[in-house]
Amino acid sequence: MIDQKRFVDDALREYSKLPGELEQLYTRRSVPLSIEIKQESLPDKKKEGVAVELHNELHAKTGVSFDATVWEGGWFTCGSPAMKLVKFGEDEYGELLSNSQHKSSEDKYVALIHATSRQALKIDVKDSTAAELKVLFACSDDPLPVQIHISVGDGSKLTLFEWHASQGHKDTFSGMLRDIRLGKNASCEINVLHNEGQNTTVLEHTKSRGDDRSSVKVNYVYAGSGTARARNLFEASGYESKVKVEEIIVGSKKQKFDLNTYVVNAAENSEASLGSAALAMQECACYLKGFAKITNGARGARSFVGEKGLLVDNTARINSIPSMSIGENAVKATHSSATGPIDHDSMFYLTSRGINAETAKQLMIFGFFSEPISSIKSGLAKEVASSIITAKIKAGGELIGIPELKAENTIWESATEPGIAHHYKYREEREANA
Amino acid sequence: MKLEIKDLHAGIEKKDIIKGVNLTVKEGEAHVIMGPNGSGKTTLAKAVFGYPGIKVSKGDILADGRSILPLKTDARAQLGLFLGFQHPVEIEGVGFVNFLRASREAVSQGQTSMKELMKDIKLLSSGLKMDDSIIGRALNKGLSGGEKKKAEILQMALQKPKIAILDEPDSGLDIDAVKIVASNINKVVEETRMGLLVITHYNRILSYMHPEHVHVMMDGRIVADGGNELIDRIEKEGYESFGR
Ligand SMILES: Nc1ncnc2c1ncn2[C@@H]1O[C@H](COP(=O)(O)OP(=O)(O)OP(=O)(O)O)[C@@H](O)[C@H]1O
Ligand SMILES: [Mg+2]
Repeated sequence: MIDQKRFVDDALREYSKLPGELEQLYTRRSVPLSIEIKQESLPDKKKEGVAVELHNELHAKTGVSFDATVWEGGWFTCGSPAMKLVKFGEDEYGELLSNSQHKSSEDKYVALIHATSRQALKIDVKDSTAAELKVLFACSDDPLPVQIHISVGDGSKLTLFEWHASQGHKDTFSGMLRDIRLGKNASCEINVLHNEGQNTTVLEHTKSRGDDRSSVKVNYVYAGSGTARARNLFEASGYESKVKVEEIIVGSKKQKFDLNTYVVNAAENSEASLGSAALAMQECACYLKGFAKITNGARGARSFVGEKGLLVDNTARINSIPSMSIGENAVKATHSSATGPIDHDSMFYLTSRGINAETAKQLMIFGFFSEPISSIKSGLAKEVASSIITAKIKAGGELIGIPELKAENTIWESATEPGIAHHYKYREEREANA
Repeated sequence: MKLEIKDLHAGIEKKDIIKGVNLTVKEGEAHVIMGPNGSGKTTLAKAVFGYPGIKVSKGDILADGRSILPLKTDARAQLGLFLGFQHPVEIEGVGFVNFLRASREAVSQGQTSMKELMKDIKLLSSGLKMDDSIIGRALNKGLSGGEKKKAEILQMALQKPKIAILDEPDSGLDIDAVKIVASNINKVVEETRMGLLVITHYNRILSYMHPEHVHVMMDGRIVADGGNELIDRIEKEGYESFGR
């Protein structure tokens, strides 16, 4: 059994030893990240109070009922047998640490989360069952480092919605190590919504592996936070397994996004794809590094990396750098990257039909996101994502704390693309339940 | 409405393209502009709509006696002008119906009933012998050349403009489609008495439309105004005989 205290000490040592950012990416405009480990901390009662308040407000405004709300010192929950919070010191915590796909030595910020987290959210969907979970992550002015261990058993299905909603008044960070494992024929859709306030720095690490014929879909929406840094690795490690990752970024107000995602085909007939769609304005800076790797022996693998960027004004910057490494011949691999300003001719076409420039711009922005948004299966996640994007664009780039989920809020509501049906369906379900 | 183009000089970047055009189109009239490739027909049409890249250096464009040059593109459309594009633009992710709704709301300055709109679209698309699947698609995305042209006519019919400028509504259409498009244009004309300015290279579409005013454009100028006899002359002699 792992010595938990020693594990933390080692992580602390790695944290102080490892360099911050070394990538060449940062030569032109850096994303300075220096996070101190602070000793003083708010009293627990106060932190929990902040989380309760945020939860209640969110529930009141959106009608979403969360299965659990995780805060810095614990959680409160309506309960689900598939989920539990494991605390530092417990045997199960040590077990999670020793099985973790993340290593402190691999990245300074993995070390930081290892050193500072005192709790792990354990989601365990037992063989041949299904779970649908909604979790709110709410921190006050103190950091919220948390480990999320997700295991989906053989033939099981998980739909997870993570809403990261911290609205701190002081600089703080929200860090997550997400460890995903899927059994044979297991499938999951994980929707991660980052809608933190500007004072929060997001540190995100996901590692995922799936057994034969498993399928994992992860949709990230980055609308909030001051700086978000992600290092993700998704491996289609089982025969005919599938990985599909979508990154949706809506950046404004000097927000910085530094997302580095690997999708790996490590087995025969596996499928791995990554799509990133970033919109940037108002001195926002985005670095999107999508990396596809096909390992030797992964015959019949299919791999796709597509990155696209929309620059709404000339103060923003998007660097998208897709790359590939292919170690097998009989495969199909494609990548694409395109970033540009709003197209003049499209603008002219729309305005020539009487549509004013602002509405035309919004139509094109929603159009830009329409594909990744309609690929979201969860009706709730789709609705929340589209509401937040709509609200943020309509508010001229202001960060939106809690969006109102109103049909009028989403331009997609009246579109007729196939993806939209889910949106309606969710709404109907919700009305039926009310 | 009366659209007057007066001694218009316009260019793109530093290049002069329109070099003194005079042309008046009134509601109820049908005009045609013919002219060789690159003579400035599309530039003229876009200038009427205030295309951002086109600078007017001299002259004026008036609607009912008032200059529209200070107006933005959308305001010109709201006056009752319509432009059918030579090359309709494909726009990713913007649903066709959504776009039509935004357009209708902008032009009518009010709320639109989705039900009515869908009914109108279905009626028009069947009149144009268009596939229904266009309704579920993104704007012009993946449409064939001919389908795009039909979609322009559908938009015109929905908008019911006072004056429509149609830039090569017939290019890329098969023989049957030319007839369908022409008869749909005629139908809108009958219903609304709108004025028409059609730019084309072919007299096939004109044989269905019988325009009473024909203009020949060469090198940024209108070099001849007349009636159907001009069409015959172009057919027989080409544009050379109009050369300066
Ligand atoms: N964006 C542009 N930049 C520079 N020159 C341009 C631009 N657009 C058009 N031109 C030039 O202006 C001239 C007129 O072009 P225009 O498209 O108006 O011709 P047209 O009469 O419509 O031709 P066609 O019959 O081939 O459609 C051409 O010489 C063309 O090269
Ligand atoms: Mg032309």
